[in-house]
Amino acid sequence: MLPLGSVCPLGVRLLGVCSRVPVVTCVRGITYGENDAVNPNFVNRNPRNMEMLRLARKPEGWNLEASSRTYWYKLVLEKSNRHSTGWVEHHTGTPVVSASTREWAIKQHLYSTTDTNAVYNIGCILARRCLESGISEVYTELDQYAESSGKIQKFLSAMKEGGVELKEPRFIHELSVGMFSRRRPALPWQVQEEGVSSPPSPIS
Amino acid sequence: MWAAKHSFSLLGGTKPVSLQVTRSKWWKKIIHNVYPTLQERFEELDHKQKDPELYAPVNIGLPKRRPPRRELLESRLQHLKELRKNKTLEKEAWKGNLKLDLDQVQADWETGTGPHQLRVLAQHYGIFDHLFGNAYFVPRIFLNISYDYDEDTVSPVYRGNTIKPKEAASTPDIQFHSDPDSLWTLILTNPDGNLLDNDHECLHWFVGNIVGGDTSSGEVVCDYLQPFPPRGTGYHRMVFVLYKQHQRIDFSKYRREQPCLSLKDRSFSTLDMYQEQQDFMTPAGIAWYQADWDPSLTDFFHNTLKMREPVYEYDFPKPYLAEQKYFPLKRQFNTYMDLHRDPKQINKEILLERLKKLHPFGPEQPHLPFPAAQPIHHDLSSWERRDLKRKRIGEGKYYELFRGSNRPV
Repeated sequence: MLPLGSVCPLGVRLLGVCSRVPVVTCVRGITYGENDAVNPNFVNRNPRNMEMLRLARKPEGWNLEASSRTYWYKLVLEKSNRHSTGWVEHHTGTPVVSASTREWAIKQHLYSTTDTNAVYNIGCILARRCLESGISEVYTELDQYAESSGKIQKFLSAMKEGGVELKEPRFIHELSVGMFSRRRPALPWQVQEEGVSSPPSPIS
Repeated sequence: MWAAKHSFSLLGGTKPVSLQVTRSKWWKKIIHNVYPTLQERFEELDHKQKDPELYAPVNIGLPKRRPPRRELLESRLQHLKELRKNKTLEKEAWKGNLKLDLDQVQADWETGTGPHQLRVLAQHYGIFDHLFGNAYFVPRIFLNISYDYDEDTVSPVYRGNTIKPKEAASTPDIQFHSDPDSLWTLILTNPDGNLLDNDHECLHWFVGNIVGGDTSSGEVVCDYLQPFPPRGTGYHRMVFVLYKQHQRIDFSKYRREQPCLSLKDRSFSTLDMYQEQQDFMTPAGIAWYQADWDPSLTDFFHNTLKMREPVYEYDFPKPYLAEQKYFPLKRQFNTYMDLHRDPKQINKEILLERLKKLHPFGPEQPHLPFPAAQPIHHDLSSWERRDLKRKRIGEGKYYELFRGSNRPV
């Protein structure tokens, strides 16, 4: 798929698929010292920034399809006859993080590559890899099968215990922050987490 | 009207375009309408598609060093056969007690599929695009980087996890597998952090000619500076790139004065640096984290960088607004004119009105119960009455008059 952010030039707004590269205006305008001459229009090139600030648009308009496309990251589990694979894919199709029993690192410790225990371990490993890759919230369509399938239930519980939330936050529409909107969501950069820092991991 | 979709190549051998063929009974002829798909429209806008040879991706990394498959296969099959015979393992797996050691799995993954998955992730984060342009590399060497959070805990750097700037205030501890005699270079850049030029990166640390795996043995070309993402800009990527040197390199060209606290001097381009040094070094490892604003950065900007703290806000795309007319029909004149005023000016007026009634030290006064039902004087004109009601219920532009629990339901 196309590289996000590089296609749409500033000024052109594409609906749905691409995440717009944000352009911001500096509030202060007076230059003072050598370092003060910052660019009043700052462009953050990080393609994941918009998703983390909940400003990137999710692909909309596929409401008549059986599976939804309104997500940033989707959790998928494939159970084939010989292997079990879990991965998190971006809405453009890239499998960003994956864990599979095809990998020797995992296969060499498992008794079976297709039983419930294998799927549970795949879930644990995938959760850790997701957190290491900066993904903590994913969308999933496996909830509907959790009641009937023990394997999927174990997989989802392994992801939850590993620290990955199975629900993505809603994106902030530009009309909801305008002057005439009823409910105004708290913008991510306005919420100050005083005294709350990211949880440290224990020393190994 | 009959319509059918055909895809076939145009005369002249250009790439196929989706055409829709319609037969109209009024005109009695076939009309070819060109309706390119969304994918085709993106490709037209993407300048890289026009010259694929010029923009073809290039692998600039170290070659793979895997042993031949046949050797591995025999030992692995043997191992798997023994696993299948293991009755205790079968019992544990059946009961659901078999839980793999995640650290062991991680260590084995680093020698197997890890580098390839890391490359896909780095591509996803746009790191290769912004650091090297069309080039990419498979990171064969894994970096173990961690910042000391306090005595007992550390903040490790993986592949995109969030670390606050106050945790990254001092130099991290870096470890990687290497021969004792080999030479390495480590560069920490922020491709999103250059406040002067959007196309360049901000250099945070540059250590060259590192002998073996010991960072302290290297020559410090640019001293360490903590990340300083300004408020409102979101998350910045802080990328550690490890290069394997073929020989000792003279980095005097890139040397900055120590300590370097000038944003202009810290402006850096990995692509330019690598184009000059590509014959002497190869990228071998990569790790990155994401940092966003922290209240401790206010002091950092004031005291360390000696500058006023820049505060940014996101420029939301503006909704469509028709050109202002002198006489808009069937529109309330006051709300119509408000749409064409500067929103910051309106917010300022609302704030001043709120501050008139706000006690600086006491609690906020509770508003009237059932504010919409309170009587409004009949001498007021229709638009004044509507405006007063909106003010009382905190609708539209008057949203900011009330805060939190004091907001009328």
